[in-house]
This record gives sequence, structure tokens and C-alpha cells, in this order.
Amino acid sequence: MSLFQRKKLHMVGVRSGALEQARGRIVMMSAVFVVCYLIVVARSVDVMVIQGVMMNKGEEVSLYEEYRPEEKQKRRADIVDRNGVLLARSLEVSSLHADPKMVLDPAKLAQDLKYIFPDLVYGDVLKKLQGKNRFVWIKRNLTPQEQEAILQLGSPALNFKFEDHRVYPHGELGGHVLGYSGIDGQGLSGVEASFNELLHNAQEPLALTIDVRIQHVLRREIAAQMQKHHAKGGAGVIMDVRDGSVLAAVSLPDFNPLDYQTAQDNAKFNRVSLGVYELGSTFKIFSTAALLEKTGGNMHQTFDVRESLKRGRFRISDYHGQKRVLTLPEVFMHSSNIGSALMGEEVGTEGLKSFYNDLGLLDQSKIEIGEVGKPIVPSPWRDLHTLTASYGHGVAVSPLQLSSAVASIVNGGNYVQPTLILNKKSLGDDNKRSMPDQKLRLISPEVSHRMRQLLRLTVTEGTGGKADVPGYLVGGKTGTAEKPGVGGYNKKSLISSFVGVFPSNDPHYVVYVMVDEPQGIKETYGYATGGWVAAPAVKNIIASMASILKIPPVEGEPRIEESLLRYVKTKEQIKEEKKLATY
Amino acid sequence: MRISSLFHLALAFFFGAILFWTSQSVQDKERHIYEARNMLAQEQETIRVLSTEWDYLNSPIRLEKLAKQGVGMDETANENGIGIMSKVGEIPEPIAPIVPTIKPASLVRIEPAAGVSSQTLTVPSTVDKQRFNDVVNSLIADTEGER
Repeated sequence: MSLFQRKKLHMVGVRSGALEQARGRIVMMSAVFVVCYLIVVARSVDVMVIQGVMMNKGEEVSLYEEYRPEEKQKRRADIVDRNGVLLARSLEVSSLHADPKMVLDPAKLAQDLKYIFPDLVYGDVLKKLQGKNRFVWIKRNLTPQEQEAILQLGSPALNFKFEDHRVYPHGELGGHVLGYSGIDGQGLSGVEASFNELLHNAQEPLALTIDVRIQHVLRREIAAQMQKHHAKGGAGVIMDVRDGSVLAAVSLPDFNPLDYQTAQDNAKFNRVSLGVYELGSTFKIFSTAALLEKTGGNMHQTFDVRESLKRGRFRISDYHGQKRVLTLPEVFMHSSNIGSALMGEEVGTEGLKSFYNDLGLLDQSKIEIGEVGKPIVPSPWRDLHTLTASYGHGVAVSPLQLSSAVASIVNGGNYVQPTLILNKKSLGDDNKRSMPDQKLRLISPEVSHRMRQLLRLTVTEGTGGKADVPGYLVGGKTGTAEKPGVGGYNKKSLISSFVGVFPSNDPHYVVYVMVDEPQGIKETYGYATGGWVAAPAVKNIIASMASILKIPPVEGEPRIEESLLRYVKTKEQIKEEKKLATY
Repeated sequence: MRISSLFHLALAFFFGAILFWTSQSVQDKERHIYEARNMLAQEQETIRVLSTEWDYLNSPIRLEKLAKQGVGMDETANENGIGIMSKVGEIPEPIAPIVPTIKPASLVRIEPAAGVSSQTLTVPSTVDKQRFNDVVNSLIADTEGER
């Protein structure tokens, strides 16, 4: 009998019932096993066919890999300007790496890579591909086109790693303020470095006080003057005098933060806040304010500038020599060194030093970036230093410090601290290190008004005429300083600057421009002074700012300096006086 | 075999099938969610790239260069200071945006004047903005009425 042939058993009685029961149980067990097998088969089909073949489109990872939004949120926060214009952002880009063990023909692959990336060196790539490591970087931060070209190669040894790359859409514009971050996303300079932790953790963009439009205007005008006068460098600041917010800060030459590795040290040097210079006659604003505030000086006070001022073995003389007795407004508008030195002498060493200190000229500026220069202050400070410091020699400060000090003088007399952060309240406690102190009055509103009159007078009647923009009541002060060289000051290396405020009747902005080592040209009759080099730039900047910020001209164009004119002698009066003196 | 055993077997099979179907549905939904999230992330990344590109394209340096090259525009102030109004009175009135007084919201029929061809003329109406479907429906109704 065959094994597969069912043997029929015929039983009756109790045995028959037991046999039926056993059969039923066997059927039941078989059914259970069949169902189990069906389930296994169904699941296998599901895993292998439905999920494995039909849905899988080549991804190496599971389709159901848990989505982790927090990974995306770890991205470095954006930096924007005061109008929300993007200044810095991290974007996902691919970087190329290789597994040398998987390379079939290193020479051919190196040749292909050299063709796609012409900046790579064939020998270096070949060496990497022939190495024993299982991971070598070939190129970081690829463009989509480069990535496409690599994919076209189809080499199994090449792989991509996606990482964040910091981009700066405005290139050089604001490079020194923004700074830059390294390949690993760590801030290395500027705001990127000083707010590194905040940018790393924050979700919201960090808003700066910078306005890219104004930044561009400032950069354009300084660059134009540099080119025109074959200058070595330049710097400029535009600041809101009411709160010290910096609308623009330019240092030239500059660099693109994207290419910081190839930028020269000279370009990376921040002349606005890190560089300290003897800024010359612009300091007369402070010595004059000190005289008015500390000694109660008045406008009809006179200073004899007919002869050079001799103190010990030093002699102080005037660049724009008037050779007569000048009133205080005349000393200011003609930028007399002798007159200013006499003012400083009258204020006294302690008085002038403490006034400069109150203005923040003797300490590092407390702005929110790390690149801040320490002022050079005479030590010990002798009486002679008081004289030279009165007209901006012997004390070296940064353009940023000078701008904020001028802002404190013209805004009614309240101390302002420069700032780059638009909304400081949004910062954490750790980042509030430069929050300005409570309102601190440095000079009285009356003195502040007098200073505004003097600044305006300098533009209408004095050395700053080239900065005037009709309708905008520009006030300002020129500054021309010789740079220190070997064995004394070098008469041919100048720092020419102009600090302007507008509108003078109620100043809103300080505009400071400094040009490093400008050369005299035919158009300026060989002069390279602040009045010829920096003042025209300030004029163009203010004219552009007026249209960009929609600042209307001052109605009626009030002559705020008019009351000072009676202390200023006209050319005819001076001629008449000289004629009388000859008799 | 008892009926109850078969019933239980059928029930188990039924619930097994339901469970399998539910499992498949959940996995399908998860896949959809994953794909949707992935697409969303991709779109967000694209938006980030595009907005960065937008800011790059609107860089003042680039715009000024293009304005000079393309339409010969110059800076606000030139060497002589011309180009900026020095008095309030000289500033021209702001040009109001050109907004048509008649809204091109719907079309109404007007009867042709005597001598004008019988072709139907249409002009923009002054009535308030209407929904597109309402306008279409009203036109269809008019056409059917004419028939």
C-alpha cells in the first residue's frame, strides 16, 4: 500500500468517536498552521514586493525613517540689516569626499576631477585617491553644476556630504561688521564671532542697525575719493546721534567674507573700530566743547594766533594761518591749532583729560564686535599733551570712537554708545554686555546748541564748505593730521577726514569719512586736506541719504549760525585792519 | 469539527485581515506624511535659496551698476550737487499710483448706437467686483434668454 494512500478504517462504537475527534483536531491544527504560513507569506510579500520593490526608489535609508525637524533647526541663524535685508545665511551645500579603496583607476578619476575642478592640483588629488584612508575630502561646498558633473562620472568611490555653508549675498558690503565664519560654522570675526553662541542657538534672525543702502553709499563715496586721490585706505561711519546706532561702517580696502581665506591682512583689518589714528582737527570739537562747558567760555573770547605757540622746545603753528587775534568761532571755523591749544591750556590737563574720558575717547569702544582698538593715550599725560590733544595730536582713537563722541556733543549733550544691534531687548543676558548706560549728560543743551552753530559755521564760512548740501543744514569739521613716521611726523602722509552732522538745527546723523594717505591732484590744487578730500564725499553721502531715507530739506533753511557771524570778521574787515596796521 | 471552532477560525482570520489592512494603511499614511514633510523641507530649502538669491540680485552695488549701464541713471548728487531739491517747495508732489477708475471686473452689454455695426460691444462696467462664476452664469443666462 502506498504511503500516500489513505487507509480507510472502519470502526464502530467508542473508538469511532475518538478517531473522529482526533481527525478534527488534526484538521484544526493544520488550519492554524496554514493561517500562520499565510500570514508569513503575506508579510514576506509585503516586505519584499510591496515595500521593497514597488515603493523603494533607490533610497538607501528606510522610507519610514523618523523625521527629525530639530536637525534642521540647528542651522545657524540669519543676520539681517535694519530693514530685514539678508546679510548672512547658512545654506545646505554638498561637499565631495572619496573612499580610495573603491577607486578602480585613480589616475583616470583624478584627471576627471581636475577637469571638473580646475583649481584642484592633479598630483594632490591623485595622492589622496591612492592613499590608504577610507575617507578623504576632495572638495568642499560644491555648486549644483559641479555636483551634477560628479554624478555624471558615476564613480562608486565618490560620495557627497551635505553641510551648511555660510553665504553673504552682499559680498564686500559690511564685511568687516559681519565678519565671517569657518568651514565648521564657527564665527571667526565680527558679529559672526561675537554672537557665535546666539547665532548657533537662536531661531530668529539677528537684526543689525546697518542699512545696506546707506552702507553702499558710504562705501561708494569713500572708494571714489580713494581712487581719485590715490589713497591707501579709507574708513567711514554713519551713526544716528539719538541712540548711537550705526547705520553704516566701512573700512577700505575690504574683503568678501566668502573668500576670507584668500583676503589679504590689509583688507581684513578693520579701520573703523580696530585702527586707531591721530585724527587731527576734528578733535577741536571736543576741546572747544570742553572750554564752553568747563570754563564757561563764550563766543567773544579771543585767542592770539599771530605768533606760533612755543612751549618748552615745542612750537605749535597753524596750517590755515590767520596771523591775527581770533574769536572763538573764528578759531573753530579756521581750524587754528594755536587757538585750540590755548583753549586746552585754559581747560587744564585734568579738565580736558576727564572730558575726553567722559566722551569715551580714552577707553576701548564698547561696540558689539571683537575688533576694537585700544586708544593710544600719552602716559604720563603732561601739560604739553594737553595742548596737542586739543587739536587731535598725541591721542589716537578709532573713527568709531570719534563719531560716537561727536554724536554725544551734538545730540543735546547726552552720552551715546555706538551699537550694531537693532533690538537689544531680544538678546539674552549674556549678550547685553554693551547695553548703553542710563542717560548720562556730558554737556548742557546750551553748549550742545553752540557746538551745532559752530559746526554749521565751519561749513558756511570756514574750511568745510565743500560738504554743504543746500537745504540740509550740514555742519561739520575738517581734520587733517600728519601720520607719525620715523623721526617725527611725515608731512606727506596725511589722514584727511571730515565729520559732518545734519541737519544742524536738530541733528539726526553723524557722517564721518576718513581717507588714509590721499595725494593732492590738479583738481584740488595739490591739496589733500580734509576739506578737499573728505568733505566732498560727505556732501555726496548726505545727498544720497536724503533721498534714500526720504529726509525732506529743512523748511525755510534757518541760519542757525547767524548769531555767531558778529564774532567773525569778513574779508573786507580783515583787509581794512591790515591796512590800518601798516599805517 | 464543531461549528464554533470554524466560527472562531473565521473570526481570527477576519481580524487578522483587518489588522493587516490597518497596518498597511498606517504605513501608507506614514509614508505620505514622510513624503509630505520631505517635500516641505525641500520647498523650504528652495525658498531659502531663492530669497538669498533675491537679496543678492537686489544688492545696491548690483542695482546701481545695472541702472547706470541700462538706463543711464546716476547717483543722486553729482559733482555740482545738482540732483537734490534744496527747498521743500521744490519737491514735486508725489505721483499717485495710476489706478483705473473703472474696475475691469465684469462686462456689460451696451446697445450699439445708430450707424454702428450690430456687433455687440463690450465695455468695462463700474459695478463692484463680481465673482467670475456669477459673471459667467449671468452671461449664459443672457445668451439663453436671447434665444
